[in-house]
Amino acid sequence: MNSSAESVVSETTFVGPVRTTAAMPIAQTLLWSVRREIWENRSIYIAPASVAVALVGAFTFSLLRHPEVLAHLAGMDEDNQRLALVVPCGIVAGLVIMTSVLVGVFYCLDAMYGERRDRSIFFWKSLPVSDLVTVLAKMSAPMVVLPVVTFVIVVATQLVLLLLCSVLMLAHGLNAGVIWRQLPLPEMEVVTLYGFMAMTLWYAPVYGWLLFVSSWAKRAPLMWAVLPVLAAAIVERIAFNTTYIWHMLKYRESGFVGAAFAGIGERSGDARHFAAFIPLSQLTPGAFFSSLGLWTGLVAAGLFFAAVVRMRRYREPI
Amino acid sequence: MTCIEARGLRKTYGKSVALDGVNMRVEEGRILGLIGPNGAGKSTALHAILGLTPYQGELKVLGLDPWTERDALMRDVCFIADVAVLPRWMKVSQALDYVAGVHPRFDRAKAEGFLAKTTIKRGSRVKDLSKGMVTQLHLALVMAIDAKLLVLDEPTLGLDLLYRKQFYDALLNEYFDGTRTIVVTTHQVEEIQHVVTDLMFVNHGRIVLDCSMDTLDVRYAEVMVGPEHAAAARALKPLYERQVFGRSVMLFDGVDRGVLVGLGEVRTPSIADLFVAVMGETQGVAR
Repeated sequence: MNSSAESVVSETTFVGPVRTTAAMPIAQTLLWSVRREIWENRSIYIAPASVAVALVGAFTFSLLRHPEVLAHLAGMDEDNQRLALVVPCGIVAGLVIMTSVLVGVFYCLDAMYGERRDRSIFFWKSLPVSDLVTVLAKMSAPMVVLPVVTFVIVVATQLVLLLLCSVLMLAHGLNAGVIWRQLPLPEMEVVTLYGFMAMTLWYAPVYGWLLFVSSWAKRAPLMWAVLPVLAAAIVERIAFNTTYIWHMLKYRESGFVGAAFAGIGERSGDARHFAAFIPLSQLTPGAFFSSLGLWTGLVAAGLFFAAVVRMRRYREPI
Repeated sequence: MTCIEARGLRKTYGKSVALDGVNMRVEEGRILGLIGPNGAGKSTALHAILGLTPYQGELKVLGLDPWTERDALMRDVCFIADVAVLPRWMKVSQALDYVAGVHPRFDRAKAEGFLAKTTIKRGSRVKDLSKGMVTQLHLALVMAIDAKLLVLDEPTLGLDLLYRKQFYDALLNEYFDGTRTIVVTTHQVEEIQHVVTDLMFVNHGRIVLDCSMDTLDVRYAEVMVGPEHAAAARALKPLYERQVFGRSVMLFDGVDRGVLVGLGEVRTPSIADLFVAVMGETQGVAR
């Protein structure tokens, strides 16, 4: 019976016209793929928004309990007024952005792993969406969607806080104009946007690495993402008594501050949470976009990206 | 026109051989039933056809290489590779929106029509649906795609009897139009008896039987042989013999019906009987 089954095809050749249906425009499949990522990962907007709401709540509570702060603000000199307004705005931006980075990290760790674990990869692969578009959509979540959503939330939160302050000042018979006169609002938002963008580009290889581990690991992607790197740093320290890997990690974490802004040391990573302190004159986009650190990072991110596209094709459900 | 053509298809997982040089050819407009025990290589073969797993050998589906051209292939092929693979977080409405957004041949109205016959709500998430409802949803999505090839791997697993019958009726009456090709695997051999046009048995990564249902009628015959004719019947070398109420039921391959009529009541074997006979034989060979 075997031989009869085989003889059926023995003389045939692979011929016949290729008849395929025209593809959907790639922009459309990409858009829907991005939309699907947001549907699945509602924490992309819920997490930063929750932190923002909590911060507004905390500031409101504090101002209602200590309304004398507002009178104090009204009586300050101009420099101190500016500082007193900029610092809370900086805290809001810093905390919301930090939240969004954390969301991005955990998103990446699950993005390629989750669909294999729950076998939904069979459903996604049954649709005419290429691995390239799928990975592009997943990479765009931490690189584009999260930053845009987060920035909008940051600006909205800052405006809500400033409006709240104004209303409370008016209610206490104080001149609320001081807020809008002293705070360099547009300048502050430009600096925040610029710093956030620089950080996102700087972190591209980190997101790439996390996506790669997520696409490759058969279990515990978080462990695989962190432990080998830590182990390498420790082995290096013990074997060679050097700390290159450790410094490389530190540089990747906060090196963009030194590259993107003048007059802020690379080591003072905390400065980015108070990006609002920085005047426009200290922005150095030229230096940033020509920095070796940015480009080596982007090349590494590109390599990880290519590897993830390939893994998406090869890896089967766990 | 050939829909699927494979030559020397081979796939190994470490030392175990999942596909051992499979040759197969499925013409357009056929409904092929792929039958085999667990671990026979059915799913691996389907996964290779759908571009889900790499393989050795030659394989063309609708003239495309599934492994390197999966996304192009999926514009004309749709499949249910496994039950319950719809993402659990997804809402029914999102599933409709998404498939409509990425698939050029998806007819949303048709899918809505299928869903209208069920109790599935648009706002429900997949994780809140019963197992049967998830399958219904998946089938509604897949059957609304105007594909040239539909691949179903155990489509009725977890469905109750009533819905299984409805499913195959819908497949034949509303989906199959004579030009589409359908490949279906199932453990419930009897339910596809009157659905498939072609039959393939797979065992140990090989195709052990490949014939159309028309050929099956001509080639195989099952005879209820009384004790008085048993010796004469055995001389014709039946493929398989079993005892029913003191009489022997023998299954013959390629023996002239004119000869068999003299031995007892002759009928065409069911797929299940043929499966047992052929698998028994190949198991013996394997030993």
